[in-house]
Amino acid sequence: MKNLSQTKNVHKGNISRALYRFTKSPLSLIGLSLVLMMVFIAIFAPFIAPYPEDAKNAVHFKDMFQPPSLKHPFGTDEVGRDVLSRVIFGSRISLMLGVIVLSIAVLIGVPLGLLAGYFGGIVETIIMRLTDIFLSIPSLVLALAVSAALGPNLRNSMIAISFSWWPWYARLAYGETLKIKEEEFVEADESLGVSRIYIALREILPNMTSSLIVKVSLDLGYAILTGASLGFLGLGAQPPTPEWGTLISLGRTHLPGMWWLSTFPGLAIFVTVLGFNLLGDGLRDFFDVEVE
Amino acid sequence: MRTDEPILRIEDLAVYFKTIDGDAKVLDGVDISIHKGEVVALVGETGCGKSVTGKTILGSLPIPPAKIVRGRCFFKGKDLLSLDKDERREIISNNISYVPQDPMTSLNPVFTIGEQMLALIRWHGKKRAGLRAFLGRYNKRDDSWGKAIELLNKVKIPSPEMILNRYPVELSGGMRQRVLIAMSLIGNPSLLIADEPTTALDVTIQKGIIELIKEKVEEENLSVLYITHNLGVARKLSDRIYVMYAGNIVETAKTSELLDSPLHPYTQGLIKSIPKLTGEEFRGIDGRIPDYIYPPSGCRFHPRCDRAIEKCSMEKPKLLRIKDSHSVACHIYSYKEVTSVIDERSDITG
Amino acid sequence: MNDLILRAEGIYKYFFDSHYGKKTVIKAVNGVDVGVRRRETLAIVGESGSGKTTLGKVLMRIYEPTEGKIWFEGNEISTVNGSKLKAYRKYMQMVFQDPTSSLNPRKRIFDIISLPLKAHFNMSKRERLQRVRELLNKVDLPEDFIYRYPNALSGGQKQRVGIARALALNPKLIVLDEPTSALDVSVQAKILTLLTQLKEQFDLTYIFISHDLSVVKNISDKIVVMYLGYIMESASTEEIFNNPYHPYTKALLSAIPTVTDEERKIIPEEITLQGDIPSPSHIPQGCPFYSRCQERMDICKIKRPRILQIKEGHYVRCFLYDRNGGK
Repeated sequence: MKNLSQTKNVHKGNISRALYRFTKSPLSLIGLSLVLMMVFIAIFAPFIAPYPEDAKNAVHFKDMFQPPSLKHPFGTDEVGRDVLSRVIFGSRISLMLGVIVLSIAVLIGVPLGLLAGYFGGIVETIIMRLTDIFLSIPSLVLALAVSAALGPNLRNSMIAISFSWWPWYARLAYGETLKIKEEEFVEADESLGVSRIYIALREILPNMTSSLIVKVSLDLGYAILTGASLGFLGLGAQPPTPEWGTLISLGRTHLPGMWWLSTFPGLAIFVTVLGFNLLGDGLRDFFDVEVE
Repeated sequence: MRTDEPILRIEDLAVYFKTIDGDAKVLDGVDISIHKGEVVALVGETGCGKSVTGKTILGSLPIPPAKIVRGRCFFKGKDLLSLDKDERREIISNNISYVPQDPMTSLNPVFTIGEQMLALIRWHGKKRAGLRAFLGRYNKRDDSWGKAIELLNKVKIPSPEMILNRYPVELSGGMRQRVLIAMSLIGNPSLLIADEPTTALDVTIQKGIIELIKEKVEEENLSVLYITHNLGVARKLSDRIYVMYAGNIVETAKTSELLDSPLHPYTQGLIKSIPKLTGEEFRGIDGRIPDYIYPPSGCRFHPRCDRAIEKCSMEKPKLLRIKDSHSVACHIYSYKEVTSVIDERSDITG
Repeated sequence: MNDLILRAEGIYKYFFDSHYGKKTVIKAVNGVDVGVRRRETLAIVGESGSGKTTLGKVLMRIYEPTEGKIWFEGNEISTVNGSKLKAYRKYMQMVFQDPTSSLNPRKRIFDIISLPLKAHFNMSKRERLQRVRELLNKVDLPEDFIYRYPNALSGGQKQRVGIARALALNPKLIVLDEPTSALDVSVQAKILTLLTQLKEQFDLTYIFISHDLSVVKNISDKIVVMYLGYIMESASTEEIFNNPYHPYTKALLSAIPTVTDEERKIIPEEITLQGDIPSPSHIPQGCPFYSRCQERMDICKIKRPRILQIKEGHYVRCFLYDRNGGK
């Protein structure tokens, strides 16, 4: 068998090919840098923030309502706390909220969708109709209701958002499973006598990771936005927690005079959501190449 | 032998595709000519560049990533590649038509066959493209309805009135392919480019389509470039065959001549690979189609060729006329040996 | 008769579809009797929609038959399930049509070939590595392919991996579902040669599902011609090619795109079929082939012909040879 192993390895591998495509798109690079910046800020908040103690219950009445200046680039609030420091600490809460909410959503939604898609029949009917019921209620309304019922605090708002989020993942996993199930390798595995649980978890699940990663990265922004909305409506984190939505809500009473109180947390939300969106789009291209 | 100028003449066509690893040299010096009323088959395996050749003629290559590096493509004496876009489109839409491989994706699923055919008939009639022509509902007083029925009769579709009111999904694969052939005849083309039109069909259906194409060629005095991987189909349909390997024409001859006494080692290997009804031994060709970014030096087939000589890796062989219409691009047939080779021919095919 | 490794009687397979509120029954296989001798290659041929792949999957017990019985080495397997079925899986394997779709793109070749070993035996990783290397040798693939992913392989190489996977459990019977139809001819020839060698080497029995009669002629001992889920004709390969009886078989043979002149002489005179194969959800009342048959008679429209032995080992379902059947 001459030349059978002749395939030269002169080509770039899939990963570097995908990375190339990713780096060729300036928007996804911007997205990636925005997200990395936010993560960096969140991790090193105590070292970056000029007045770390202001994130909590500090009071400096002599500095209250200072407009942005060199000493306080984002100004100060009604008790003289540095807004920049509070926004920086707010990134911790928002990112944590996003990650936790989506982890719960993925952990509930994906197994259910996989189960429904692969096993079909009555399992499918029950799971997917339940999903439909959840999807028929607008997610913010559902989250509001749950949050109001459980009592307003950060933990409950995360539970509330996850509650309205998992059906999307059940749907995604269901659709992907139906698609992958049609591939001949699933039939091949069945004919080899491999157990169905093994096929579902080890053969089908890995084939939907790229779609999942893209959706998660796009959704992180929206989950953060929803968290901030709940905070804004007073159903999320409670003062003095420097949550971005809560900060906007508090600053709102002093508009338009003290514009910096709401504007800077708002910008922080904007930048984060934008970052995750651009990154998600970039990742979609990234995985498209890998599949080719 | 015809002495007149061919209707289509491609000279030294080279098309590269830009990739991140470098240029993929997909076509590297292709020469093809088609005479009036002639059916020419372009035969090759997956990835040999035969579809790219067809698309280049039709001007439907995506540029970029593709780029035409060199070469000319004369249609009725005019070089299509040097014309500007509008002029080229004008010539192509008036003279050349296309029958695609997949009849499903080539028809719009949300319009009936009638709507799609009438739009095309009107477009050819008035030369007015765009939304209006396409959205225009058909009215039966218009003679284009009659023309559509006439066309469907031509491709032997039973009860054409009924078919015109159907959607593409309601037709079988063979029926859709007949509709597409009917549509390709609308503009009274002089050249038909068919890209594996029967590959997706069953053999019994394929047979009918081949016979239909054969008949239309005679009736309409069409010239055809028939792209296929199936030598059996080429035998049934074509007057002449071009064999393509890795972006090069390696051999061309009259159909029976080429199949009965192939000269190029690749053509020989290809024919030997086909399981025969006679039960004679068949064997494949070792190796796989080369990498287009770093193609083998010299003859692109030499790493897989069991008759390769030193020269093969150094110099690219030219397509040499060995006999009448039989040309081959292979170093083992250099000028001196030509005569002896023809005498030996029987051993080669045996 | 004892030499039959696999025997099936009265196999029916219906699929029930109830989309858009309309209930349709797709009758893919309609009462098929078939027997495969040990070390023989049985070819099932037919066009798309003939039910040949469905029949193959029923015999493999990937699908459960709607009706009918299957015996493997004398043991009935048509209704077994669970661990008992798993035990039979060791003896019967399948090679699939699309080499790309039949290999999980996220798994390395090692994981793909060793999966059946993992499912059936308690082998250490080292033992499995050893066995996978052995199997790669058997299908003429280099050992260093073990850590590659399927998309780094050509179509022919992928199909070799598919064959290696089917061999992993030392099966007795392999169902080959159009194993070369997605490949180029030069590669197809290599794969067919490999299959022939492996058959000798491992005493295998093949059920070869194909639409390509040139391939079938060269590889099979016996041919079953199917149309709309019915067997129309079955006989030894020689018989089918030399003395085809059924008009459909003749039409199939005449449609083979032949390459050489000698081949042309072998196939019957020109027959071009009109129309298409009807949908398996609306099978005609009489002979399934009635709508396209060139030699049809009045009886064929009303009554369904039975399958009849015409001579030793040659069965045909056609009223042309069953003058009494219509009465």
